Amino acid sequence: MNGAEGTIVYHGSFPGFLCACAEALNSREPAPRVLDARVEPTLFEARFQVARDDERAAALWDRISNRAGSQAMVTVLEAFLSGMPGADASLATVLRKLWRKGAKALDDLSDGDVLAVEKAALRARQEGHKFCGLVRFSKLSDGSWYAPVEPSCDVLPLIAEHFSTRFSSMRFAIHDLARGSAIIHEAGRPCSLVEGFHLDAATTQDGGRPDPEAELSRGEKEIRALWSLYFRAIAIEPRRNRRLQMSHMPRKYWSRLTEMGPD
Amino acid sequence: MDTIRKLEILSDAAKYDASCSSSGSARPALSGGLGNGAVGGICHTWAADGRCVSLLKVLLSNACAWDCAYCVNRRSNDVSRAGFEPEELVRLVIDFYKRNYIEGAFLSSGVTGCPDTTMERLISVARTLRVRERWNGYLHLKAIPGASEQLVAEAARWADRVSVNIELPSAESLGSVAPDKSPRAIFSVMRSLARAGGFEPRRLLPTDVTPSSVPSSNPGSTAFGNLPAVSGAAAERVPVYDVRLASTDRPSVMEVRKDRRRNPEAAVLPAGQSTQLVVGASPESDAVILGLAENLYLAYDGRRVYYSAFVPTTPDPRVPALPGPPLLREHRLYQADWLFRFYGFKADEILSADRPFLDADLDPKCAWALRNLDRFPVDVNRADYLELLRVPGIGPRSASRILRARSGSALKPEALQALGVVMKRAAFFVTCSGTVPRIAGSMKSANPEAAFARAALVDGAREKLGGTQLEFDWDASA
Repeated sequence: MNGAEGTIVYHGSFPGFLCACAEALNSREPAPRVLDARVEPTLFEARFQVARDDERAAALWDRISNRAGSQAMVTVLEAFLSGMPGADASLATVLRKLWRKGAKALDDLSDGDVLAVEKAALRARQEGHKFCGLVRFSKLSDGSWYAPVEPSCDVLPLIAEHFSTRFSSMRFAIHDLARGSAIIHEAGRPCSLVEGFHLDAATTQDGGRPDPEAELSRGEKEIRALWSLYFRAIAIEPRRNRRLQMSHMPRKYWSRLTEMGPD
Repeated sequence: MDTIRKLEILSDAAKYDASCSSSGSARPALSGGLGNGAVGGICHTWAADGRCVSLLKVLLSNACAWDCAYCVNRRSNDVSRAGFEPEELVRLVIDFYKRNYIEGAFLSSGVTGCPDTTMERLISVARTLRVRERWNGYLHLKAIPGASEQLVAEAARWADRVSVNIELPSAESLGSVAPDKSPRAIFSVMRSLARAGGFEPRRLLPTDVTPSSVPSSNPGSTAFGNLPAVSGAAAERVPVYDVRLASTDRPSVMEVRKDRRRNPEAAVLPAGQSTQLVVGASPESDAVILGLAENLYLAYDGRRVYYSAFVPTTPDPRVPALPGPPLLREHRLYQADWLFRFYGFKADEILSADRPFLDADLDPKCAWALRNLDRFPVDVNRADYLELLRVPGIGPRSASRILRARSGSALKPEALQALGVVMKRAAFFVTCSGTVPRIAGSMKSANPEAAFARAALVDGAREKLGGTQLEFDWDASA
């Protein structure tokens, strides 16, 4: 039972998580567990809540970063963004090891927490890479570009730079519908990540949500049709293999893909 | 004809070219421009046949003066013909790219007029994209066999990759199936491309395997008998179509590539050249195909050799009427190709004159391991990276994880699965400091010589892909 030291909980965000980890680092051994407050408490659990404090989070990040190097910190961020159940608890333990031993702590794959962190990081990295391909922009009538996405991991922080480099002269938003966050990019400027994004559209769907489909630029539907046609034409019929297609591109992604649409 | 109908015809006509890779180029973004290269490549969708779609793959025109029997666009085939206006194609590339539908374009063409005029038309689209549109996405151009060195070099200047397809794995088959293409025309383009990428085409030393001993499924075939050894000045005058298996002192493709420094930000041809071999349209064995592929990697610095299962479209007496594309054979060839590039294998380790075909039921690496049991078991706590790579069930990722993980403490069999090792296969070939893994769900120790080992190593590829496997009697058809 981990009753004596209890459990430190945080509310969702990465800075909040880091604050909980800072608290855990300051505690005596055995280190308390770090958990998302949304996880149901067990019966005899003593919970201790840590408030989000961005300065404190940044200080911890810098401290560990100095010890472990930027490569290890990328793994830390990816593992957190994976949102895999339990990844945050393992990550808190691993942060403690990184603080003590530096980057080589990540090499000890015989340690269950290190392995869990590596796997979680890989998952987020792979989904981020996948979304570099699966994002679909539509041109809106005001000349800006809008792409709604529904990734399993919180990939926006991982793909923001890719898209703002590639489409540096485009005004665009990549909108994570489930999390409400978005990458916002104005031509020629660095991008920003925002929480609680709303498409600023004149037209709304039933229920009052903005309707990007009603805001499309002229010719957008024709270009979508060309793409869907190309997508169908490029498949070789005698090689048809839906299972292979789905193993690369799971069905959960289809609803946001122009070419997988009903028509 | 409107764009939509043209796109339908010209993408349908281009789809039998297997290459859709977009890796190898880190072309930087230009200020005020559009796009950049992603060195690892990015797939943007997967078609109903399960193949990745990364590029807008179209022909500029599917009208063709040539009559290659395997090709859907051959002169004698009765299909709708169309051609893009250059401006129309430029528009399409940019419109698709801005929506993130594609990573770039792969432009090819039927041969209209002579090879040089066809090349010039492709180059002019490329130039417009790069210069006027300031577009830096991935561009793969097809070179036409017989095009002049100057035009090939100009294509290389605008493109990330240029490819010229061999298609038929022997000079004899090329002569009978694609009479308008000559080995000389193909290989001179390959040489120009190698040089454009800063690589001096290598002279492959003759081996003691004489050409007539090169196995073919048709033992009477002397397809390569009239080809000269490649050495000295002969390499310049006579095109290499040397498919003999590598001699044992030849380095592996992986070793050679490790020593070759590449610059993915190079302006000219950062992603190098590739080619394609059609599988099943002619009688060559897997050994011939892999021997040729290995030579192409070594001699021309080829980045990829693609294998394309022959898809019979409309009948032509020069190629067999297959029940369907030989997908299982293609799959095994790709697995063997991976062994060249990422596992340090040589062609003659995978196949030999007395064993000309890959095992249909086993991954070529498992087949190799079962033939070389004296090299096993490998101790995962001592073996180096290359030795680990040779173990079935261990790949580059799990091999490097093993190296990292064992630096802390010696590995036990239970730990391997978590590191990504496929124990179903690896169990037969490893020990952990002397401890032999047990077979899952049983008390038996894994022993590769036991009767059940081979059965346990059989993968499901035959069930998945074998339905249309080629069982074609070349002798009876001759």
